[in-house]
Amino acid sequence: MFEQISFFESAEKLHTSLTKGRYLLFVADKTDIAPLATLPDDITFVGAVFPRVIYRHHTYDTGIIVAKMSDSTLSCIVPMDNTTQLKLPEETNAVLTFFDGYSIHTDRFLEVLYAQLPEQARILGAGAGKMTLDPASYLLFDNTQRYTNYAIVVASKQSVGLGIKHGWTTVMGPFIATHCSGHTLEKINFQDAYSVYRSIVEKISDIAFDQTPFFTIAQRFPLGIVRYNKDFIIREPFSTNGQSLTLNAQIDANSVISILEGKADAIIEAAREAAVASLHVKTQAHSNVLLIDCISRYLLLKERYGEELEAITSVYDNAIPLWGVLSLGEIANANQEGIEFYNNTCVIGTL
Amino acid sequence: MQYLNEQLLLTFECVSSIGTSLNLETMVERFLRVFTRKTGALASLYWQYVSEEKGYVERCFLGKQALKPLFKRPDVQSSNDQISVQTEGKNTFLYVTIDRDSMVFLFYSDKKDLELLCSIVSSFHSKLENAVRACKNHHDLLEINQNLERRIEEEVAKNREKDKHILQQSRLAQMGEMISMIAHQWRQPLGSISAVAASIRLKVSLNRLDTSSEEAQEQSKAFLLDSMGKIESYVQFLTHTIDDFRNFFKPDKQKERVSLAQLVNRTLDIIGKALEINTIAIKVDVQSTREILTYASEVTQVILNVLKNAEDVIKERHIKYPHIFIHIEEQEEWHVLSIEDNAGGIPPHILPYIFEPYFSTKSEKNGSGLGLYMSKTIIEEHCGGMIYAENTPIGARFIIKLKEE
Repeated sequence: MFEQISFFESAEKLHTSLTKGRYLLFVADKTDIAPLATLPDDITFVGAVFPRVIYRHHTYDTGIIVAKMSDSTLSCIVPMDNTTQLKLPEETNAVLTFFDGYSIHTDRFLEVLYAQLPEQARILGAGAGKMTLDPASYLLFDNTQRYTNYAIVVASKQSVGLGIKHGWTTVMGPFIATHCSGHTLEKINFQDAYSVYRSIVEKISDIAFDQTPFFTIAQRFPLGIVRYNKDFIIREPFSTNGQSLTLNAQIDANSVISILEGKADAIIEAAREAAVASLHVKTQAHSNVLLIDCISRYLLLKERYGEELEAITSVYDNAIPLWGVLSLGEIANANQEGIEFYNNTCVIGTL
Repeated sequence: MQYLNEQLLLTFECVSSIGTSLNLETMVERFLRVFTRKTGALASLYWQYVSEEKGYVERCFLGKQALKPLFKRPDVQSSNDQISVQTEGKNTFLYVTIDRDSMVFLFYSDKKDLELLCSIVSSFHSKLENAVRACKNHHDLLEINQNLERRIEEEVAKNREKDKHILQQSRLAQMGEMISMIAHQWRQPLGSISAVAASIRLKVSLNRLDTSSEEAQEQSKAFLLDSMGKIESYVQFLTHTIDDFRNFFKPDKQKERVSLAQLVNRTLDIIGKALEINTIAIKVDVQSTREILTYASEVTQVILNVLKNAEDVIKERHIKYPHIFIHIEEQEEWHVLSIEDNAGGIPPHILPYIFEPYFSTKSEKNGSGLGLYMSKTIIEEHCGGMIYAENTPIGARFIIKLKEE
């Protein structure tokens, strides 16, 4: 899928390092990408901005990861509300997608994209975004322009291994999301969602809501959507108006939810398990490992995040490069079922 | 315990997703989405049985399009099991039959793994079936409503056509009555003409038309001139009757200014003779001679029809000293004409129906049952007035009310 993966501290350095070809760029939040506009015409690229990028054992808030696509790898940028122009070859085995993490079309986009996947194809991807929520900012770009509400789709015949784990555990539940509207959870068990959430978190922890930023609390105590005989899907509230909770993905009315708690050891162990799982389903030898890890895990683990990277890289051969992003939402379909939009989750693909 | 909870919770979520819409596709799609997401099904498809086509039509598919060919169209003759599981290689299909429709889910799981799912589906199967039926009934109801609107339009058009037909029938019936009245009107002048002709013939045959002397010639000439004058006068009367007849049947294109008294007089010119022959006394009391703008000929038809009905019932009931009292007055903005007879009145049980079409008490006398219906149509729909009937101590009274314009 990718011939070469490199990390550059700044966009200027690409001028002297890149050769003719097509590239996928992961740009860290604080990177100035203006110099990309003057790259030679025979260097074409698609790229997305993320809070941080991951290269080998480190994460960076400034810098660019550059992955050179092989000739057989397809790439395009499509509007998330209209993917009709997207035509995936039947022999496609792997699809990567990096999409506008703030788009309201995410759920529909993923459903339509999944419907278009060939039978055997696996998919993984990430929501692009910045730590500062600025609706005017662009998140995706190519040689010609910058995009909002678009998605990069990369497709390859190469098969991928996939591991998905999060490490959060239930501390209280189940509850019913009795009133929901898009990304807003209005009522839990027919009461204001925030009141219920706050009373439970205060009961199970020593957190003072009045003295702690809400997103800090939510990173530690996200919500989990319960599934039958399967691991739950995490939904992280990122803001509140004092009554409802705003999530970074849609939640269906009457979903059964639990309140989860993340503990560093369990989260790090989950990342290692995801890495192990990615090897189990891999059918071909892999040359690199793509890590899509939720930014909330990084913020929660803080200085211990390095341990998570160590846990992951320990599973693979030292020579195999680990690269990826800290994202706003992760997607994957490990078992060929519908694509799920995860939060707070570690998705690892062996490419 | 956790395992048990998941079953209950899955059941709750699925049940909550049932019946969220009365549109079948929306409701089913919502259910399929929830069930597929929560159970990890790879794809799902809903086949609706369409009785008109005696087969299944795909209504909703969720999942990879590439998996669709794995779903076989259900066989109409296939098993009647409500819930069943079939394995084909790595694919396991969960079939749920709902009101002859078929819901199919594809899993990459063992048949055994789906046993519990079958139990869960079984627990809300009847609710799902009822919801599907509700959607179908709603759809049928919408179709019926749409058809009903179309049928109402068709029926309204038919009714318009029928009204035209009724009008035509009514005119024909009235024409028959008119011919009868003309016959009455003509009988006397024709008899007179015949008498004059007979007297001439008699004189000729008796050689009483003497031309031998100048004086005799003058007398014969005077006799013949007198006879010719009488014949001409009678012929003029006949012509006048024909003009009345023709004017009566000429439909009004435009309103004209006319008083109710004038309309009564025009009517009596036509029917008066017939009433006179039947010794029916007519009394007209005119309290208002103000003119109104209306369709004069049509109102005349109505007056004529009411008078003719009075005549018929008077004759039928052999009323002694029969009379018809016509009263014209103004009541606020209304110009009111009432026609009252002394024929005993209308039986109370038929009084509410006398203005309905094809309602007649004159079956043995070829009553069309359209006269009063047409009268009501003319007065109320065409002229913007009202007509109704009531009984008096001695007979029936028809009241016609018209406005200034």
